Amino acid sequence: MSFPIAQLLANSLIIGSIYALVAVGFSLIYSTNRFVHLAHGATVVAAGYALYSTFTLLHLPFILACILTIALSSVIGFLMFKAIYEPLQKRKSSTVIMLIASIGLLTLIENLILLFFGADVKTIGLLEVRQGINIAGAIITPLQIVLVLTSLTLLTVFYLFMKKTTLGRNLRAVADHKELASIMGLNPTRLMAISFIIGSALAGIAGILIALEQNLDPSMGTDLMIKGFSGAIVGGIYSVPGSILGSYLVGTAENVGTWFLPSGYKNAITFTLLFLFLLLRPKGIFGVDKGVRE
Amino acid sequence: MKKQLKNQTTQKINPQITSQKIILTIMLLLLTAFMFGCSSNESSNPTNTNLPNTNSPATQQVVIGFIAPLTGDAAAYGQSILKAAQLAQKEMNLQNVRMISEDTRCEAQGAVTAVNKLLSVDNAQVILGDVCSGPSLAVAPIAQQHGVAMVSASATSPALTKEPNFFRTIPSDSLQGAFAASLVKEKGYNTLAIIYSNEDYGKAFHDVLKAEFEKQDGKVVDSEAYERSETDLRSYLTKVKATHPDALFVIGNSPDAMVAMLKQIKELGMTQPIFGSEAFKAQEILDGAQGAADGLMVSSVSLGSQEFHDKYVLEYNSEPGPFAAQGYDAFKAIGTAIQSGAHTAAQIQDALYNTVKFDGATGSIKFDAQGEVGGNYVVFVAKNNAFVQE
Repeated sequence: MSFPIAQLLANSLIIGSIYALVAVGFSLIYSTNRFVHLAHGATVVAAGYALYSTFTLLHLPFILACILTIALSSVIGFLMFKAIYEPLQKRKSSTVIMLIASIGLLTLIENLILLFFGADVKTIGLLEVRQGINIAGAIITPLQIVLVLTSLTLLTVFYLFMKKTTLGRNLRAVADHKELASIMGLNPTRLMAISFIIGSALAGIAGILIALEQNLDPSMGTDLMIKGFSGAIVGGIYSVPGSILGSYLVGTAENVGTWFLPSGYKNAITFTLLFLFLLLRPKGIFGVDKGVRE
Repeated sequence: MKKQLKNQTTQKINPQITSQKIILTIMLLLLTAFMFGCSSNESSNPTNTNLPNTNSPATQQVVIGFIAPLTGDAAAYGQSILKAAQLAQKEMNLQNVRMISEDTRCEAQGAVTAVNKLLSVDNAQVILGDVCSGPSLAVAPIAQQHGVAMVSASATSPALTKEPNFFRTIPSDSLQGAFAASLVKEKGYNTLAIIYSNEDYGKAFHDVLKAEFEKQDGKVVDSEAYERSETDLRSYLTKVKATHPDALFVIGNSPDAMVAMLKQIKELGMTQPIFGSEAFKAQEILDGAQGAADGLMVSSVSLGSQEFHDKYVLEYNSEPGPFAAQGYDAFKAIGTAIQSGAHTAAQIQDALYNTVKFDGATGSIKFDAQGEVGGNYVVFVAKNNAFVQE
C-alpha cells in the first residue's frame, strides 16, 4: 500500500477548515467572555438548517440565502447572550453555571431543530455529486476547493480585523483584562455582545460550508463542538491564529493517524492530542499566560 | 469612568433579580415539559380507550411496550415499523390491548430508560422492539429479569440468538452474511473491502460476512470501522482505496452516514461496485445521495407480500418503509399470542415459543427454539433514483 500523502493532506485540509471556522468563533467568545459557550455548536447546526430552509425549501437565490443564514446566526448568538448569559453574568454566576447553561442551550436548540425538521437526511443539493479533480495525486472536488479557500480567506480577514481595527483592538483589550478595559472607558458588556455576534456569524459560515459539503443532522453540533473545542485548546484558546493552527492540526492528526492505526480510533486520536496538550502545554501552541484576571 | 463604576454597583443591588428568577424558572419548566412531551406516545384501539382497568381475566388490559428510534438519525426505520405495527393493531382489533411507544434513538442508554419506564410505570407484558441490535442487546436482560418477552422486527445481530426472551420476525445476520458473501462471489469479485459501523450490529455482521467470504475462497483485503453516524468518512475511504479491492461492502444503520459514504466514494473516484446492507434500501438514501447511489446492490430481507403492500398503501397512502412487513408481523405475533388467551408476560412468552403460527406479511411465521425465523433474501439494485429487484 503506497502512502497517499497528498490525499491525506487534502482530507485534513478540508475537515480542518471546518473545524477552524468553528474554533475561531468559539475562541473569540471564550476569550472575551471567559466561559465555555458549548451552544456555539448549536449555532452551526441552526445555520445549516437555515440554509436548507431558505435555499432548498424556499428556493431563494443562493447568495441571498447565505446572507440570511449568516444574519440569523448572529441573531441567535446575540439572543443567547442577552437572554441567558448576560443575566447569569450579572448575578456573578460561576463558570460552572455558565457551562451548564450552555449545555442546556445546546440540547434545547438541537431538539427544537429535530422537532421542526425531523431526523431524516437533509441535503442542500447545490451541486451535483461527481468525481473530484486530481491535484498532485489528491482527488478533491471543486466545492471542497471553494470551501478551503473561503475558510482560509475568512480566517485571514478575521485575523487582520482583530489586529488592525479599533473594534478588534477593543475586543482584545476586554479579552486581556476586562476590568482594566472598563477603566479605560470601554464598555465590556457591549463588546462581549459584539463578540457573540461576530463569533456566531463565523459559526453561520461554518454551518453553510458543512451543509454544502456533508448532509445535515440535528445532533451534529455536539460533535463539531468537541472537535472545534479541541482545536482551540491545542492551538491556544486565547489566540486566533492558534485556534486556526490547532484545528488544522486536529484534522491532520485524525486523517494521518487513521492511516496508521485501526479505524475506530479516530476520535481517540483527537482526545489523545487534547490530553497531551492539557497535560504538557495547557496554554496551547500559541498560548500566552493570561491568567492575570483570576 | 466614575459613571460606569457607579452603574456596575447599582446593577449589583438591582431588585430585578426576582423577576429574572421567575423567568428562568418558567423557561426550565417549559424545557422539562417539552422534553417529556416528545418522549411518550400512546396509541390504543379507539373503541376501548375508556374501558376500566379491572383485574378479571376477561377484561384484563395487556400493555405492549413499543421501543424504537422515533427521533435521531435512525428514526426513519422506527417510524416505518411503528406505522406497520399500528396497521396490524387496527386490523386485529384486539380488545383491551394498549400499545405505548417510547423513543430509544437507537442508543443503548435511551433503550434502557424506555424499557425501565415501560416495565415499571406502564407494567408492559411484552415489548415490541428495539429496531437496532445494540440497544436490543442492552435491554434484553432487563426484560428477562421481569420475565417479559421482546419481539423485534429489525435487530439482526447473531449475538441476540442467545437471549432466551428475545424473538424476531427478521432472520439473523448469520444468514444474511452467508447470502451476501455468495452474492459478491457470484458477481465475480474475489477481493472485498468491508466498511462497517462500529457498534454491535456492524461488528457482528462484519465478522459473519468476512468468515463466509473467506470460506468461499474470497479475500477480505481491508476492514474499516466508522462511528455509527459519522459523516466525514474520507480518512477510511482513502485507506480502502489504497488496497484496490474488487468490490466494497458497506454495513450501516444510520442514513446520515450512509448517504455521506456514497457521495464520498464517488467524489474520491472509487469506481468499484458497492454492496450495501439492508438498511440502504430506503428512498431517503437515494434522494440524499443524488445519483451517487446508482449501481448500489442491496441484499435485503423480504419486503412482504403484495397483500400487505396494498393494505399499507390503502391505510397510509404511501409506500411501506424499511422493515414495515417485519413490523407488521411482529405485532401480529404478539397479537396472535394474546388472541390465544395469553394475558400475563409468562403466558405471552410461552405462546410465542409454542403456539404462535400464522401466515404473515413476510411468509409463514413460527419461532424456533431460539426465537428465530428463517427467511429469504432478495437483491435490489439502485437505478435512476429507485430500487429495482434483481
